[in-house]
Formats: sequence, structure tokens, C-alpha cells
Amino acid sequence: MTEEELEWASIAWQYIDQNTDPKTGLVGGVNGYPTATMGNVAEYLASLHVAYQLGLVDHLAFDGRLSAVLHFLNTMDLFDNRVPNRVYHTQTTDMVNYANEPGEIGWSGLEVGRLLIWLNVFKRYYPPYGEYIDKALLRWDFCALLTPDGEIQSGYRQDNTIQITQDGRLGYEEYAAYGYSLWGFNPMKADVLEPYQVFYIYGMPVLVDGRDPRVDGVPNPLVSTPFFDMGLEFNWDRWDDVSSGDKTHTRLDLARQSEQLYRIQEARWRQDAIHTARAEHILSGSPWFLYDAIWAQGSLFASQTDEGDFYDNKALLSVKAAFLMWALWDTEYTDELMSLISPLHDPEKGWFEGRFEQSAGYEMALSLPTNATVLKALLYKQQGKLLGAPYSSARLEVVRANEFELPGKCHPIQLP
Amino acid sequence: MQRTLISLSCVAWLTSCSTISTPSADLPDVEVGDGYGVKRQAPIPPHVEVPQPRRGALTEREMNMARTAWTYFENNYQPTTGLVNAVDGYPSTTLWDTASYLAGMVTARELGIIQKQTFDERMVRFIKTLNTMDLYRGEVPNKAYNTVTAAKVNYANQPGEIGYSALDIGRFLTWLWIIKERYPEHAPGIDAGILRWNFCHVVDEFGTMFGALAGPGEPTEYLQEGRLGYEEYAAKGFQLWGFHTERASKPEPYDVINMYGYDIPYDSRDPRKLVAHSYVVTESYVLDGIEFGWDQPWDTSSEDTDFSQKWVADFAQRIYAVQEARYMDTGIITARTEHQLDKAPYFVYDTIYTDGYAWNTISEKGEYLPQYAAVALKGALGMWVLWDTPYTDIVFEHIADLYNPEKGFYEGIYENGTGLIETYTSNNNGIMMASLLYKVQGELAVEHPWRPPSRWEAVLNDEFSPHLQQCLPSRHNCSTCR
Repeated sequence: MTEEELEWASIAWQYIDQNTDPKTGLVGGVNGYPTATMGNVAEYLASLHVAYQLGLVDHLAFDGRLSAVLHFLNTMDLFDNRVPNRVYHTQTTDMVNYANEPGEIGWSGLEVGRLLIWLNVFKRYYPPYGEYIDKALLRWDFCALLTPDGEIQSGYRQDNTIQITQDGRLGYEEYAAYGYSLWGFNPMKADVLEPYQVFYIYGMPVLVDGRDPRVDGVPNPLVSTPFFDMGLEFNWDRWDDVSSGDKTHTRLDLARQSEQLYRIQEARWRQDAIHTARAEHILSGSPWFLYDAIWAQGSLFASQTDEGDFYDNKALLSVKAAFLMWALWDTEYTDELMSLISPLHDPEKGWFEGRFEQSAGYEMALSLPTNATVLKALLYKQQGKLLGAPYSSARLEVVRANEFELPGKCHPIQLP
Repeated sequence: MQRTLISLSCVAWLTSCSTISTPSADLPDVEVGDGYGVKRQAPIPPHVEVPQPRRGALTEREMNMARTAWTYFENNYQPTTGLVNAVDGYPSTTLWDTASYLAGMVTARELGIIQKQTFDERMVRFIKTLNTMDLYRGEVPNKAYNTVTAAKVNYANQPGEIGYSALDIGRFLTWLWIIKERYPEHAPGIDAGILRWNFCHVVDEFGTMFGALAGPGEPTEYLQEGRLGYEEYAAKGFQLWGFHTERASKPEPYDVINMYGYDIPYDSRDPRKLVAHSYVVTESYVLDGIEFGWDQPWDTSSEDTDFSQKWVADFAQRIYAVQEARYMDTGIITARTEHQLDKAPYFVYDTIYTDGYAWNTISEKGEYLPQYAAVALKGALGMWVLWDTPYTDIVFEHIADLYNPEKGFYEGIYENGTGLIETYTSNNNGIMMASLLYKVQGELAVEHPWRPPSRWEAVLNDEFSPHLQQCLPSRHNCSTCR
């Protein structure tokens, strides 16, 4: 790792440093806004892992921070006393709604899946903490998170009823499925790319989610980041593959789709001379959050909100996507991307979201996902696949194997 | 085996043995498979190597179909103008629907349903309208006309100007050309009618086609018109009259989506930005096959299997194959194209693919209306005649008898089993007749054997002709020529 890259990492760490609540030790997902989802907790853990590996934090600070997170996970209130709520207040650790007022609004199986991945990484790298990670997992009711046929589920509270739906569209779904697989669950329907359609973009075939948003009301933009995340963390291998080399991808379906998503973005630069590195991102003004898609509802390179409205002129050349592409593909194009991306930071505050594709202007909003991704990409460059070696058993395995003390809650039973 | 087991149990349960064995002595035993649900084997249709078009004389049944379709044009003929209502009983039409009427009339004459005298009477009256009707702001015909008065109208059939459609004009030019070549006796009147038109805004110097839009009292807005399939098909009409349509005739820009293993081409212009839907339907490819044999318009050979415009022939095969594949996979008889409805919104694009979705059915405004998906009769019969396969045999039986003997063929039959689209149109009946004529004659746009002269050609060759100011095709170095 070069001097400059280490500098980049410490800039990204600035975001975490600035946004850590001194009392609870939690980190907010958006700069200055004290809320966190389970996805944000995962991103914080990823950042902490990278910072420790790169020597940005010492062991004392690392233990303090990690212990605070584990304490939170083991003591936080649960939605319906079953699963983590969608959002928590980072100052009080209360369950809150999206307006950050106290409230139980539901859960997201997808976000828990992301957290499961990083909890597993920590159990692999830092075995002494495995016990406390396992205890947190044993609190959650996996019956609510995963259906018996292996679909990831989410719930929304509506008045006094809970609306339960399948969660995740192509890419996001397969990424979260890794988390469940790593802990011995079987998310078989979430784990496959079906249902999909095949479109050709710049002559290259690419898979697009096959569910119909007009029928289920859920937009299904094709976004490249979850596929690239799977490259960083799993090298596009099977979740249980610990032996194949860097060049071998035992999930060839995911590797091919990711390769196409990269090549399409490069082709847009080569053929149409538009620098392209697309991700989901926040904005400092309305509509506040956008999916910059490769494909969305029949249109190429469209930007869509969660509700399905289009805002193509708010698309970004994303810092997050550029770092992912730069780490995974060492090409002339990603070097060119980095020359446009590397100035997009404030040395005191962290990395910005990106620059507007339309105008070159900065989007100066700061978020945890972007800064965590910068850190992950840099560690990947140094170490390769982030997942780590398999761990020896800890508390969870003991409980699952004890026929008199079975955990229930849809945990798999692993009697010896 | 079953029997032995029962008799063995008799030994063990002597007391109950008599009650079991008494009925089984008279009745046959329960057999393996009783009560099993039928697991049907996968379909094995007869293999067709390369589907060929259906050619040959019409059967009596097919002749009757042509006669039935012609009743539409008898009922809806307006003797005051020589025009025909586009929809049964509603006195309004467009150039596209008029072209379908001309197709029906040519078929009726070629098949002997009407005599030359009837044909000429209708044709002469029609050509008079062509030479007297008001044009849209002095350029080309308006999008819609009242069929009783030949006045320019809006879509509500109230007098007014709304613009023009290059696609409608293109198809209309094709059929006027076909009539000129088949019956040169009508050529002078037709040429005189077209020489009234001004093409300056319709086709530009790069060969792009434009339509026009205007509200009352507003300046005209000219917009590129035509999406993959329709654009190239309509351009062929302009090409027959000598225009260069280079950009319109290119398939680009297009992308493909893979459905059932076939790469289906669709127009890649973004429907959100340009407000024009890029629908993939059967109609434009069927019309291109029936009228041109998927040949270049300048190709005068009428060989059935030699396609001089290879990509159109290739795309048409895919459009057919994917619909057959949908039937094989889902059992839904599929022949998708745009069609009318007998209730609001009265018209849908019933597509193979559009705006991001496979098998999408949308209104003009883009509303999703899957309940109105239907087998459109014109698309179905076009597929039947162009592809001789076991699948189109079933399609034919599905639709061949869906007519009202007094009014003609129905527009379609809903895919979801909710019955017929009880409306009758010039376009549907005209295209069905042209499909039947194709069976007898092959591609319909063929040259006259000795190429009689025409007034149109004479004007193009006369470099001093004042008509050249109307942006007619170029034979000279001429600033206004195309």
C-alpha cells in the first residue's frame, strides 16, 4: 500500500471518528445524523476491521469500540421482542422510525443479512469475541428473517398489523444471502439469481431482476455495488469455499455478472465518453437518496428513488463505485476514474458521495457506506478476499449441538 | 401381486376374511394407478426445419373469410368521398386505415369478390377526394379526416387540424404504388394527388422521417417519428416514390433482450425522454413480409425465400419464434400487436416487449393494462400465412371463425378468456384480406411487367418543374430536393 493510499484510508476513518457517539460507541449512517440501521452497523464493523488491520487504531481503541458494538447488539430492544428494528438512535440506542422519533417500524432481513456477513468476518479474525457475537445472534428470531423455502423477509408495521414481504432484488438479495449461509442457514431462494431477464447493453448480456414492479410495487433497478461487494468480500466464491485461488471464482454466475457490470460502465466511457461509476447514494437535497442504476424499468443509466421516480440529472460519478472498481479491476479506465475521484474528500471529515455526472460539481454529503467502502477497497488491495479463514466453534455451535438446550427460533440443529 | 397379498391376509384374519373376500370375488381389484392425477408428457410438435410461407390457391373456407372481411368495406363505404370508416359506424379515418382499405379493395378485385367496374367506381371516387381534400397547413394530409365530408378533423371527429403522421403517409404511399403498378389506368390521378403534397418537413436531408403536431392556432412542432419495425417499414413507402430514407431505414439505434432464448430487438431510444413508446409487435414485420417479402423496396424479384433486406427477415423470424416459444412454455396462444378495444381506452399496444417489460400491454399514455392482452386477428392471420407451422395451424383455428357474417371479423380475442373484442375495423379486415392475397400471389409490392411511364417520374426528371420546390426526390443538383 502506498503512502497516498494510506492517507486515503485515514481520511475515510475520519468519518467514523467524527461520527462515533461518545456514550454508546455507535456510528450514524449519515454525517451528523444520529441514526443507524443494521447495515450501518455492518459498515462500521467493516471499517473498524480495516482500521485495525492497517494500524489506524491500536488494540485498546479497537477493543473499546468493538465491545461497545457487541454490548449494543446484546442489549438493544428488539422489534416485537424478536428481531432488530429497522433503525436505532445512536445516542440513546432506542428503536426509532425514519424521522428518528421513538418507534418500532419493522425489520429488514436484507440489512440483518449484511450484518451477519461482518459478524462472521469478526468471528473469523478475532475468535475471542466469538462468544459475544454468538450471544447476539441467539437473541434473534430467524423465523421472521427467513422463510422455510429460503427467501429473505422483511416486516413493516402498518397501524396494528405487520405487513411481511419478500425482501431484496437482484444483487442485494444474493449479497445478503451470503450472510445467512455463513451462519448455517439455508437461504436457497435468495441465493439464486432467478428470476431474471437478460438484456444486452453495449452488446454485452447482463441479468436484470425478473420481478415486475408494476405487480408488486417494488422498483428493481440494476445497481452494480452489491455485486462488487461480493467481489471484495467473497472473491465471487461459494460461501464455504476457503481453498480456491484468487483467479478462480466458484460462484461463476456472480463473477460473470460483475464482470459485465464493470465492462458496461467502461464501455460507456470508451464509446460515449461519459465517465461512469454508479452506485446507490445519498444527496444533500431532495430526493435525498437515489439508486443510480445501470438499467431501471427499461431505461439505461437511469436514476431512481425507492418510490420509483426518476431523477437522471442527479446521477453521480460515485466515490464508492469508483473505489470498488479500482480495487477489483486494475485497468486504464479505473486509473482514470481515480484521478477524478481522489480529490473528492475533506481531510477532516472523510470522503464525499461523488461528483455529478451532469456538471462535475461535488456532492458533498458524507455517509458511512461510502467511507466504509473506501476502507474495504483499500484493504482488499493489500490482502485480497476479505472473508478470512474459517473459525473454530464457539458458543453458537455449542448451543446448536445441545439437544437439551436447542435455541429454537429457526436455528439449524447441528447435533453431533 | 395385489391378489396374493389379500389372500395371505385372509389366513391371518380369518374372522374378517369372508367380509373382504366376498365383494372382491365379483368386482375387479383395485389396480395400480387408480386415482392417480394425470402427469401429461411434454408436447412434441412435429419438427419444422425452416418455416416456409403458406402459398397456393385459397380453399373455399379461406375464400369465405375474404368475402366476410370484405363486408366490412361494403358496410362502411361512404359514396360521397370514396373513403371508408376506420372503425365500424364511426365516420372518421386516417391514411393508415385508408391504406388497409386499399389493400382490402385490391384483394377483393384480385380474388374476384368485386368486379373491375365496382373497383373503378370506388377508385375514381377515392382519387377525386385525394385531389380535392384539404391538406394540413398546405403540406401533406392531416392525421384524420371525416369520411362523409372529407374535412380535416381532430380525434374527436370535429373539424380541425392536428398534424400529420409520417408512418401513416409511408404505408399509404406503399399502397398507392401497388395500385399504380397493378392498374396503371389509375396512375395519372394518383400522381396528381401526390404532386399536391409538400415533403419539405416530412423527410429531411439525412433521410429521417418527421411527423407534425399542433394545437389550434399554435405553430407546428415537427418530431422524429417511427420506432424500430414501423420506422423502416414506413420508410419503404417513401423509397418506392424515390425518396432517400437513409437514417429511417437503419435498424439502429436498437438493443436486444433475451426472451425464451431468442434475442429480441427493440428500439433503444429512451421512452421516458421522448414520450414515444418503443413497442415490439408483430404488425410491422408481418406487413413488411406480406407487402415486401422482407426485401428491399427496390428489389424487383418476387422470390419467397431470398430476402434482400436480411436484418428485417432475421428480426421477423425472432418475433415469430418468441411468440411460438411463449405458447410452448405457457400454453397461451400468442399473436401480439397493437389493436383496438371496444371500451376505454379504445386502443392498446399489446406488445412482445415495451418500455422495459416483456409481454407488456399499455395504453397510449403508458398505463399497464394486462387484462386487455389479446390475440389480434390481423397479427394471427399474418403469422399463419408467413410461417407454415403446427403452431400457426392452432392459431388459425383459434381465430378463423371469429366473425359476424354481417359486419366482418372481430378485432381480437382476449388472452385471459374474457371473450371477443367486439369491434370491427378497416385495419384488421384489410390486413386479413392482404394476408389471404399473399397466400395466392406472394409479396404484393411488385412492379408492372413493362414499367409504364408515370407523371410522377416525368416531374422528377424535369429540372424546371415547379413541383421540385415541394422537396421531391432529387434527380438534379437542386437545393430543395431530397
